[in-house]
Amino acid sequence: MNLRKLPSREFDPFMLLAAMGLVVYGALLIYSGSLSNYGEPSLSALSHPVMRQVMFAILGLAALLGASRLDYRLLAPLSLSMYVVSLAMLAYVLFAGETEYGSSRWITIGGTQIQPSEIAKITTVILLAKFLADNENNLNSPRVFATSLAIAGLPAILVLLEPDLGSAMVFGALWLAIVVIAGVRPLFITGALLATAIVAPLALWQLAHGYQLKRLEVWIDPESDPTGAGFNILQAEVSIGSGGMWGKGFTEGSQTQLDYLRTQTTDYVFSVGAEELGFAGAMVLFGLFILLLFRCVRVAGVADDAFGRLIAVGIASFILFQVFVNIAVNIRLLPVTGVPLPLVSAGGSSLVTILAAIGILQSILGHRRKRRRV
Amino acid sequence: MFGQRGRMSVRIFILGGAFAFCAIALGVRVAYVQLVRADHYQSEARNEHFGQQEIRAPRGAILDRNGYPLATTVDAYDIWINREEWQNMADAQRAAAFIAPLIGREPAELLTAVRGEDEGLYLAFGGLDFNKGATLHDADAPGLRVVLTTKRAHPEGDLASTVLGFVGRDHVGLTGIEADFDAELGGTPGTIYFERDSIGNRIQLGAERVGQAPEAGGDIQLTIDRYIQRLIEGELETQIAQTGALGGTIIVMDPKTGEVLGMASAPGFRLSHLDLNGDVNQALFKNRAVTDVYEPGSVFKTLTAAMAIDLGLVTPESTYVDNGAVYIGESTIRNWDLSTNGPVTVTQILQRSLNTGATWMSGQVGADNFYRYANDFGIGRATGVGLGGEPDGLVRDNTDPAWAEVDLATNSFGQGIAATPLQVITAIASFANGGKLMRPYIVKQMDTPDGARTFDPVVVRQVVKPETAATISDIMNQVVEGIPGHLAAIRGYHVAGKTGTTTDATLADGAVLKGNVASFIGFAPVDDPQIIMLVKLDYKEDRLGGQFSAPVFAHLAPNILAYLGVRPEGPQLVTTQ
Repeated sequence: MNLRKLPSREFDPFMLLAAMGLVVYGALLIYSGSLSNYGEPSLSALSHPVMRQVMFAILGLAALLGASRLDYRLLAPLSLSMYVVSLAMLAYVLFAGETEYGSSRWITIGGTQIQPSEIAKITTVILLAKFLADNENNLNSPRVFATSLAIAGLPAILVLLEPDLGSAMVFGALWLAIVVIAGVRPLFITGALLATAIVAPLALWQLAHGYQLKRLEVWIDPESDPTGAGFNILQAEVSIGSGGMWGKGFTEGSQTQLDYLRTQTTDYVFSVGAEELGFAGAMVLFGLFILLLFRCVRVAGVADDAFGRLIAVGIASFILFQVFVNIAVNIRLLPVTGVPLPLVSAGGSSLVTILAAIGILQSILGHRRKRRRV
Repeated sequence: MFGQRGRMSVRIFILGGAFAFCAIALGVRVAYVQLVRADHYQSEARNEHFGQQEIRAPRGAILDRNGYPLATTVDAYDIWINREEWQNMADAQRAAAFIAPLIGREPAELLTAVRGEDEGLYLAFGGLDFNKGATLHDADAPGLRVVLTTKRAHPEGDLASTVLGFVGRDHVGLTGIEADFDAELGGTPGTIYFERDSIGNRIQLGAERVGQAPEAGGDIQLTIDRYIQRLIEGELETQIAQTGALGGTIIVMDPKTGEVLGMASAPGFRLSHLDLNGDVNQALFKNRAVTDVYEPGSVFKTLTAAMAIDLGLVTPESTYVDNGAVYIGESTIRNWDLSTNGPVTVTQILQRSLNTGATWMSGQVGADNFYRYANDFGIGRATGVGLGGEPDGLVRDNTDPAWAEVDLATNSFGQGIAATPLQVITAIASFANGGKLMRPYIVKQMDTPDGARTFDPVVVRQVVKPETAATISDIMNQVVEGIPGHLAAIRGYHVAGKTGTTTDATLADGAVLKGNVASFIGFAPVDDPQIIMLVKLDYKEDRLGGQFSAPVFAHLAPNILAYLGVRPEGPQLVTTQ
């Protein structure tokens, strides 16, 4: 094949730059956040969080570039099987997964912990996009609507059983974004939302594990249990607030380095950045996310077909949702929910999945048949 | 097509709106937390990361009037034993055998005490001497924890214990000067901030800064002279041992300044044997010279005579015919020995200590004048010496509805009226000071953050005319020296004095003062008084002040006067050769 004759594929360098910027930003914060517990990273210590993150970033980058080369349309016939496999993995962790912090979310394959819920997010997006694109002319059908709800609902319920309320809500968010953009009757959507609004609190009340109610309680008043359930909430807030405008300096954050912050490389990585790099650092992070998300939404706008558009919307929305929820938890706008900060938090599954998803977006951009400038 | 794209825009607008809402919500909150409330969170973080530890300020010393330390602070060690590490019997026995001798305990007894419980720290010895503690500190016995601390040391032993008082384990003064001047002695504790991790452990090599340096407590210099104090304490102890006294008080004062040179009271406590565990008789910690009232008895006749003379109603030579009894209403006033003396002078009334004569004088003075003078003498009023627990005393004057004519009579010879030993000596001291009542004081100088503060003598008021004071001094000299064989008379110095004896007494407020008080108060030399001394001894049985307390004065006064460099007068010096 003559490579020179291939049409040069459109590739969004800004999207890649934003994503890689976030990964580097994240790696730096993980470095700082892991100093107190792991010390300096070294090539020989591959279990060090920074080394792991770098390795997963390389893996993710390869997935990104690979996915961008492949025509995203190839995903359509595979979507159902990928979805079923990820559901199976979710079911598997429920029975045989590894339990950490009281919930089973991981399976180990080849010495690496994999979090199936991260994979399921992307397979759900693809299947939803495929299903709604196939039924583009039949969107007013209640059956189509119900099926879309089921596609998102199944993994959500499995994840909820782990239990992982945060991830379950991600499925809800991506479903909502996709059905809105797909053009499902607003009546259905409104109805579903109302039903959720009524049922969710009741279900929560009945099914909630004690810790979720406790989380609500300490969210409203962390001082009610400052050394227990409220500890993280308070410490994150203190970390962020004490960072001030310019921060305390990289690796100089007392909250982070003295272990006041817990899970400071994962769920509370934002607090590390806000403490050490201050408001300025937080705004750089916001800027990178806004750039990334705009480039994602742009893909939705220029996509060739409904399938590509809905995938882009789904990916953009679940990234946005996770960013919002994660940071909101850090700054006590929302009760504690274990959602990682996309591309920034330490965690291989999430990192690789999101980088691969960005690769798919690049593919949607690069495999358009009718090019138009937007 | 157009419509399709239009609906698309609406949908994108909805998503965009959600996006914008999220971004704005996060941005506003982050800005609020990081920019608006940054100061608040920064101080929160500081408070968390920096543990605070109080640095105890070195406690000031208590010095005697010449600068000798009576109470001071020295380094010491607290010896703790971690019970868990003594669960192994062999280890425990080995450790006990090593530790116990150094802290003056029996190994077996220590072993039992520590192993009484399974865990926790056991204080085996509080405030161990620096040298012994240092030995333990360097030793490597299981479970041994040696903590550097400070303790109050008393270079003069148990001297002036009830005056000085003591400090508790937290180094806060609990009684005496230690308590009354705790703020001055204690200084201001400082704070040291050290970095700590989330579990609260101090970080080695972590940042450390002294928030506020401790401000050392100031030294307090007393007017007490350690030599005089030792003399009077020894004498008091001797009297208790030899005459069966239950207790007593001796005060030595400079009559011209009001400085208390010595103040001893018994029963008291020994600083070296202070044990605050278990039942503690709090009463032993009192400085009875200041806190307890008694009936001054016949000593008070000097005040009554002074009133009459000061008002010009009598002279020392004025005569009164004693019929052995005075009838007031239904009461009869008799002399202590039930004697009838016929015509007597005012001087003789005091020499013979006639209650009838005192009653006669008070009748001339009148109730209004009598109680005004008593008040001016400071009877029934706290002296303001600056020591805690000083009561006003008890005087029922003629403004009180329950007052009766007979009260004036009994009061005139010091009954039915109560005052502290310090109030009485202060009142009598005015005769040795030209009629000026001084405010007694015990703190001579105090170091304060603003420099040394010296206390000067304070004249409270001129109670009687200088001539009256001289006259009373002369009468009191006649009391001691006018009759041969008075037990308060000493060689080399002319003494003015008066005895007082009281038995169980019911006071104005109905309170009963149990016991018998034999007292003597005297000053010398009469011409230029350098000391005034009150001796008060408490007995179970009836004891005369002239027999029991006067000799105490006679023992002490020559020593004290000689020590103060007061030259004995010539003729007596010759006769002693």
